[in-house]
Amino acid sequence: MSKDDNVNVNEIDFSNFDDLEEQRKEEEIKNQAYEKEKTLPPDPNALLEVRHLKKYFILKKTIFGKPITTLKAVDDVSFKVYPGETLGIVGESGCGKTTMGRTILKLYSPTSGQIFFDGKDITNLKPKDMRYLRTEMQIIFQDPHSSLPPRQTVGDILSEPVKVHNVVKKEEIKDYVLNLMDQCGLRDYYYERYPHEFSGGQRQRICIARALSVNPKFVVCDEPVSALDVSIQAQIINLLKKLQKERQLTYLFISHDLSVVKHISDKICVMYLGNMVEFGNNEDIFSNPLHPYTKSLFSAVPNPNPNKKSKRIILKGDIPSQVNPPKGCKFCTRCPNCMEICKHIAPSYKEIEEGHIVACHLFNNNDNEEAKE
Amino acid sequence: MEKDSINKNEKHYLTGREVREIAKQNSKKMRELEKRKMRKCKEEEFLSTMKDPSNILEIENLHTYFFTDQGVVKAVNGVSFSIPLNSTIGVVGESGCGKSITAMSVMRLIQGPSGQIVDGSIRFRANDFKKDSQGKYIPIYEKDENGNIIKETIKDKKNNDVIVDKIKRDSKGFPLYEREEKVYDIVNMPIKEMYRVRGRQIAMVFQEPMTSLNPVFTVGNQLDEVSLLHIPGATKELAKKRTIQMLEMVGIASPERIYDSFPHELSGGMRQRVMIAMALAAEPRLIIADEPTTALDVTIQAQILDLFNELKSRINGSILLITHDLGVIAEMADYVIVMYAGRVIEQGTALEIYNNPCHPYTIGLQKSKPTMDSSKDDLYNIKGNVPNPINMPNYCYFKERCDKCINRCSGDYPNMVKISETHYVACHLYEEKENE
Repeated sequence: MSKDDNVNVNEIDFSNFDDLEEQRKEEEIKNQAYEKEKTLPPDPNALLEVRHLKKYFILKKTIFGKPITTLKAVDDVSFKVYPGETLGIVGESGCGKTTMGRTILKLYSPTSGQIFFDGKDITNLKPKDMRYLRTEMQIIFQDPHSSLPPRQTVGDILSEPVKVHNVVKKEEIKDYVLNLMDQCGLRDYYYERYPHEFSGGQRQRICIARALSVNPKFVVCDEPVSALDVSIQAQIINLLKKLQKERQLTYLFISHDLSVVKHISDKICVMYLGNMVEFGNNEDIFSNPLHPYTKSLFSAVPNPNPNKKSKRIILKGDIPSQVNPPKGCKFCTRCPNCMEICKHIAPSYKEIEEGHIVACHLFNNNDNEEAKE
Repeated sequence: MEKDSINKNEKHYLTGREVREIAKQNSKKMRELEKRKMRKCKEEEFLSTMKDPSNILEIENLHTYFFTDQGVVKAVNGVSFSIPLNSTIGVVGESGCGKSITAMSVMRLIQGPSGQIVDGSIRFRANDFKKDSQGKYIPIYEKDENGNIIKETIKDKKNNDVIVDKIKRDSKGFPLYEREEKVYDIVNMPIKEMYRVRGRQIAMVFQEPMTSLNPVFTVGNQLDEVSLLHIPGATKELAKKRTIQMLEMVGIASPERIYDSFPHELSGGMRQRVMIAMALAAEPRLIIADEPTTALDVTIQAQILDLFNELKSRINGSILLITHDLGVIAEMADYVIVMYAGRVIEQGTALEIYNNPCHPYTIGLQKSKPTMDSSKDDLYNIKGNVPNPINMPNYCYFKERCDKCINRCSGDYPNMVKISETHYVACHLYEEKENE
């Protein structure tokens, strides 16, 4: 894309613009760049590195197996997570947050792209080889009611992963589990009880304890507090933070609640329709949101202070269908400062400040000083 | 370690005999209450008067219980508040605190026979149609300067010209009927008489727009039904006109297209707009919105809240907003009611509740919610869980979780204490101050 950057966008004539041809060309250039990047070694400091991750679901096929309709759940996302950090992922429902979390854990196999965990490429590992990695990376699911087996006691639920992965000796398992339960704020006499006897908050504690039972380094928290009440939410968030300090955990925190993500994360990734639109440090993104979507998303959060009535940027319309997303920039149908170029060319990632990446045409051209404001 | 609501030694299972004993007692009470619900009675029996004429709804000492085999669940346990005309009341609380059940009690939608309104009164000032001795609505006739009724000729079913009195019509073409103000005691109303109130006087917007729309009928069909049922003299053409007008009012760009589409073709935000249009169709005096934005995304939530704010000035009525989100309450409500375990624990204007929260639960609730401008320190958390709704204690329900507990908290349940003209709190901490 280096040549295109020098062309003044305003001078391009879009009336004779061949979308399909351009798209094909663009993809070719991108693919070439990816091929080059593929051979690069992973960042040695990063615990997790994701490069151009894509996950497409094929909804319809011809009889020969050629895909007709594909759903691009995650489309070209790259980021790095360093040890001990929390990466928050925010976006509306259907933007591919959960799919990404699961693809990183290889619960779905990625369509293309690379995932490096602890310096190793785990993209093409077989499920059998993935097994030992499961002690390193774990997941906490959204709904604690449906993710616990109803016929097992808490003790069984928590000791099963310990047994499977041989974390401790057989004789020490019970002590180990009781110690773990204590850390997660569960009483020792809960050992013999069944999940239905607990409230939502306690069940989420059991889920957290189960994920931590194999001593992972990296935990994907997939909306762990969305199904809980406000007062219980605070308990769980504090617990997650406490455990992070004690065990030097790295979190990938997925949530649609911006205030929770802001509270817990060090870095934030904003997603829209499978694309990463903005990535940066917590402070940078919240004090200086650049992408129009991020701006409107932040302004849409209701403020509990009635003295402050902030001006909202209200987006028109709904999130478009993922099966048939708009051409060019996917946000162009709802964007308040949409330009002609947005409807044809998908924006590429630009680093505005150090570690603050945004994908928007407003920041693509240095001549467009006015547009920036 | 935090305290738990379930004690280790306390047994938490009932024997079969105990369960049967409870069921026996319950069925007796339920039969009695069900009989009362289904009875026929004259209108005078459920007419009442308002304590304060500026209010539109007064709830006093409402008790709604669920008779389960494990025991009686007191879902709403002595709730009292009132809604003034043209205002927005927000009810906030955690799940299971009885906020939805209060709203359902107002609509008399509690699932019987296990759920019953046991005690209390809900007085509603309705703007109902006047009826003549035969039970028909009295139309308003158009009169000339001398006070004589103007005649007009219309065609009847057999296409003959008939001369009738000309009925006054509003700008949309609906005939006008004489109305009068009546105060109903909703708790005393037989369930069959509730048609006077439901939809026509009080409308409800539910949380899940998909489950509350009928999937086999078009949106237009379902919206027309409201006008046809609740507006006397409505015809199919008039109803369609009104439906399209309503859809426009809630900000749907192409109402004609939406009129013919089915609910599954619409997105979540669109469906919620249709639900709001449906609630507005019969021009109700009170709209109950039960978590209208919980199932929606943040950007769509902003759209819907904006719509509600806009509608507030356009409709001549009040809104009762139920939510668990303090942010939504702050943006929307004039008055806030905080509920906990079936009781109102604090009430006041939105500013009072935010600037000067008095009950330890309200304070905890505010501190435990991370906000966009809060710091990254540890969140305050209220320890423990909501107590078991069966066999509630006699003392303050929040005692076990409260960190400002004093000796008096083991005594009776605290009464409402006046902090200011509009601000009340149920806590022993403030009782002393008042007595001094």
